Amino acid sequence: MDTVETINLKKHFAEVKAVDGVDLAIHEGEFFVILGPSGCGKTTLMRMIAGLEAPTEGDVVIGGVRVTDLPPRMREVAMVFQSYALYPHMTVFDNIGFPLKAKKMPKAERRSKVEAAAATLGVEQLLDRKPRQLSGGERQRVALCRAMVKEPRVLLLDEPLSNLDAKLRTAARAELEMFQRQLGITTIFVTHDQIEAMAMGDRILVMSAGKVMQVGAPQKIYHDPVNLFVATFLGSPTINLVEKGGCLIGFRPEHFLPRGSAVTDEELTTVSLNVFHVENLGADRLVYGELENAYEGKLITAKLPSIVTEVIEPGTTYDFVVETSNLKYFDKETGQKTEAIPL
Amino acid sequence: MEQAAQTPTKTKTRFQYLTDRESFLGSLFLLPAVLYIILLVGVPFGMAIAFSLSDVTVGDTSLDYVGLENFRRILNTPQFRRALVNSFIITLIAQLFVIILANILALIFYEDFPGKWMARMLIIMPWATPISLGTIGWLWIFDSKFSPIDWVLQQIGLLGPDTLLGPGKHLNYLGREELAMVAVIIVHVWRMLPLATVILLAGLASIDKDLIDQAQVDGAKFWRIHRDIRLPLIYPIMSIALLFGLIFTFSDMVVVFLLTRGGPIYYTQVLPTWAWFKGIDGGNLSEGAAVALFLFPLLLVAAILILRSAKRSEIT
Repeated sequence: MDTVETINLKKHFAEVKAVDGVDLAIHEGEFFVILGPSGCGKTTLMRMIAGLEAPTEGDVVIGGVRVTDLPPRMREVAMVFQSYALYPHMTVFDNIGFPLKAKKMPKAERRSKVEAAAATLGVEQLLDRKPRQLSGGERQRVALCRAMVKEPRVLLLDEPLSNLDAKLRTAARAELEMFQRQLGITTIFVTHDQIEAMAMGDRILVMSAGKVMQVGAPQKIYHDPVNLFVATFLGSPTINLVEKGGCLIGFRPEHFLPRGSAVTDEELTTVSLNVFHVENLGADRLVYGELENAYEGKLITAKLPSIVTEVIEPGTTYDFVVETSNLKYFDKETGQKTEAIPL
Repeated sequence: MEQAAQTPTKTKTRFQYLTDRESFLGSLFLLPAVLYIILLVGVPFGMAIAFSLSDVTVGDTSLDYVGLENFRRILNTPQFRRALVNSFIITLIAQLFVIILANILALIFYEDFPGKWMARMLIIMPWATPISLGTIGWLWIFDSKFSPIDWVLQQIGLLGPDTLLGPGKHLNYLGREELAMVAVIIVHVWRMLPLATVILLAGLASIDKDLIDQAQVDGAKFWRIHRDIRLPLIYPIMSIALLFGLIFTFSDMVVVFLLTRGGPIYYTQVLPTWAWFKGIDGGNLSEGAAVALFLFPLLLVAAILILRSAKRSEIT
């Protein structure tokens, strides 16, 4: 049985279709990521699962029970907001203990649960502090502690890493993922950051304009996108697109290498790239070049790992290759994936 | 030629940058406020103290020092003691109701409903109305013969012969000791409620919406959210509303002066009206000043206490 299901879930704000018919089935213990650009409806979708937003149409099912009309407190969900929403006037102890207090749990039992949760996340020495005395990372842990202490069936995380600085974010990402695996709690994680999604998700849902674009394992979504939106949204630098007939052919920058450095038995497709500009980023070299039938006249990018030592100079034309199996084909009109066409 | 051109520039520099000097500008801009406080607050306050320690009256304006004689004398009169007690009763009860009702109203007006703006505007009206006009309106409402309250009570069968509140056909609100006090308190509540509501509404609006959502997900119901989250967060701003309410009500003389003139007999006198009746109406300036000075320490203590508690619970 799936832990969380949504059935044709819709939320319309007047003319705006924030969420427009989403069907989901999230498995027990899964780390499920909802990925999309800002304004795509991912937060609204999560708020409907939490019960903070009433759907215009459709149903939410948690643990096999239809909860569409139940208030948040009846849903066995916990949530961590982007802002962490720590109660500023309460100590860390009272913050973590609040969900238990709302359950009218006796004081002694509450204390032991709060202390146990705080120890799990390493915030036990902060229990007497107020939220304003905490760093960003500490706030995030306290918020997570408060979410976990009531032992929810589903943990909802709304961009919980986006308020941390870049270095801390990477560490917190790994920590959060390990924590989730350890507890095995069903987790829904909303983000606009494709790297977070790729790194953490068991499965990713890519959303655009209130609709589901694709659901699947990170590698599947990255290597086999069902449409142009998914293909261009994932990957940095973004996928290269070349026009041919009514078809767009896509290939990722890291699959696009100088002919000399491609050692493989696979069938290769060769093009000559007129190199325009080279950026050496240390770990990688980004080569930007012109191709005559590039989609919308954009520059074509190649991402060369540092082990590729060939000299690439701007203003020169080189032969670049891509494995034919790494080419992706999309219909130019609909943006949907299509069959391979002869080149 | 060069010499002549330089001299005016030099003199100009001395005054040209005067307005850039903070010490000069600061004092200049503070001057009106300082003058205002000295002339309109400091001088009258000093005069009140001088009057209260002398035997000055309207008829004999010479200031002869009599020590605390005036204070001793007014403390011995039942009118003063009644006014002192009334001031406290009216202020405290009125503010209790104001805070409770303002909380309820603010919670209602914080929610979205059709006609919200109209309702919000109406709730502000008592504050926008001159207090004297409002009180005159209430004077009609509490009229001994034509009171619309009496009329409604008669129509629904609560007032008149053989009814619960009968047998008289009128309650004569302002002619009866307790009812007159109630009437004064009602007008004060009516008067202060809009300001308190608007202040609390601003307080509620300043609470991060995420906190309320979070509390809901955490499993809290309405009352727990209100008691554990909203109230503590708006407490600092609520104490400001309370401070304003206490001071406005405690020092107000218009309501009692227009509604009951302190009557029946002197049963609804408060300190400001009694000071006026004694000092201006009765011509006994020294005793009037002594009565009025009783307002000062009480208001001072209230202000210090509430400002301090607001600071303590300040949340950043």
